[in-house]
Amino acid sequence: MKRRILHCLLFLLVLLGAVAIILPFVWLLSMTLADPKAQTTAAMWQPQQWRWANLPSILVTNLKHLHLVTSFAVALITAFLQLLVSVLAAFVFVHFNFWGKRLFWILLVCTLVIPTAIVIIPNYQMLMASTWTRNLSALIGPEIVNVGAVWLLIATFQVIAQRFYVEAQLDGASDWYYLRHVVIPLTHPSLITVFISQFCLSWNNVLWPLVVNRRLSLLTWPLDLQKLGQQAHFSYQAFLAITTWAIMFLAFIVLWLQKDLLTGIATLVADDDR
Amino acid sequence: MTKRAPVNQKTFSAWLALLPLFILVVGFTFFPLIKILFIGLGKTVQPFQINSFALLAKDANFRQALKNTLILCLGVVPASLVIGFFLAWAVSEVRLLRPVWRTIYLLPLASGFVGLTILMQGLFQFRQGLMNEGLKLEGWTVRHWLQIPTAANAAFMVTVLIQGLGLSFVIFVAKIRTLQHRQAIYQLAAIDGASSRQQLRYVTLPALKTTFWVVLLVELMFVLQLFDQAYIFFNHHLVSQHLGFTLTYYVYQTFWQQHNYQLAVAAALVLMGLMVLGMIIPLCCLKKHPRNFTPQIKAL
Repeated sequence: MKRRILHCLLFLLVLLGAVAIILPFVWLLSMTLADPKAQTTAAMWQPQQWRWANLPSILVTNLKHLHLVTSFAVALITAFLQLLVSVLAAFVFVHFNFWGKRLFWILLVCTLVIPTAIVIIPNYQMLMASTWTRNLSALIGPEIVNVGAVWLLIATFQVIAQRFYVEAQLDGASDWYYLRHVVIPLTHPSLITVFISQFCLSWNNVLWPLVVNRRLSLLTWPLDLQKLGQQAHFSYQAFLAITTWAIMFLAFIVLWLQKDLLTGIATLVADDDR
Repeated sequence: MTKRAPVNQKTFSAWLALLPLFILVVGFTFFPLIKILFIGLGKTVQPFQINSFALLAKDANFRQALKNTLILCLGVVPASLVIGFFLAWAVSEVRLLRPVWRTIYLLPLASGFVGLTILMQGLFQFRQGLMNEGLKLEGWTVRHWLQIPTAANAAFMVTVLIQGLGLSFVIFVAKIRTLQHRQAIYQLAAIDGASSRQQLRYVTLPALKTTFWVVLLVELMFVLQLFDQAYIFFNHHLVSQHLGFTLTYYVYQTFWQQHNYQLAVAAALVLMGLMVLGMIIPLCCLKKHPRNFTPQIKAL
């Protein structure tokens, strides 16, 4: 009986929390979909008066001001390169014994305590002096390394039994073949986790594009939106509509892949069980 | 099959595979750091001078930025650890519609930092913000919340807290989910007559030790380097009274707006000191504890 009451209470609590989370999103949607001419409070909360056409029309009108393709390309390329670099490094760390292994690992862990704020100043000056700033590589280059990604992948690769590697070698498989045909298929949740986390981080990055874009025409969407929001003719509704699109886009990807993401994240903290 | 020459060949191929990572880490992290500290930037800019710290200590803006960063840390990190764990536990404990609740609770994190910050800022807008709509409904007076410093700071703290909660929730929920997949432990505990509370105390919590340290590490990294949220939430018109005026923002402002290189670097170094202090405990605990974290460290 006591247990049942506890469960009912927990259920109520979870339900209340869920309502509190959903409510702001409903507000966002209602602001976006309300009739721009007759925006009274009452109309906002009546879903039958919502104009769903607002969403696509506002996006299409502002498409030329938003560098969506640039932002998407930057996020995609950064995430892909990070995955590639981290997979190679993690594989080597797990299966190879080589000179300088411990030293390099300590060096990598040290980067965790070096804040972005300290390296952006010299990085900015270095890139300004080079030809990199003429294309996207200035936005991508400094963002590729993420020790967290290497860390997660090392933890994941170690879960695969070492004897698979020995057996594969006995069968004459090269390291590359083993990585390609055994490791990657077995660990795809972690690979997806690394890819999606970096994609989200790059897609939402403000500081580095803000700094490096001072002399560039390459802006990403958060900065575009910020700039648009300051123009007098740009309505607050349009501002929120673009935000709604951005939220829907990311939320769709993350929630669609949530099972893989949760499995991937769990690997990072899995060793308690072993 | 011929036996490989173990040391040399492995070392060569290992470093070949590590080369991209090595170049990027050295090129974009360590070389810039050395450049700042010892070489200086270009002909005009001297390397960092130690007496800049004295100038920094006299700067009222810096003291405020340091205070703001510490307030955010103290306000957000412990709360997201405790509440994030509790929410993850509660959501995993409810059997009815569990995936639905989990999806809803993941929504704040899944919206992305920028989207969620704009949404949270919108809630406190004067015209049609959710806060004022609610107050009108009750017949109370509405206010320009974002123009009252204390109210704006509180709203900002809530925004950061929600994002921190999203981070800790997803890690805890991922871990508890794998624990639940091995039902045997819980079934055994139930056969032995353990109540829900006892299962939480003696089964779930001990299995979450590493997870707590990882969450602490992630939260510290997130809060200490806060910039994007502050920049968006306060429409990049920050003054030092705003809670969003963090150390990273101070560095940004002093270098890119006031062109004061020495002060900016000194402040960045203070931030680095804070990060070393804040992260050394979680990192050491993850490394030391015999059963904890990173089996790779043991393997090295």
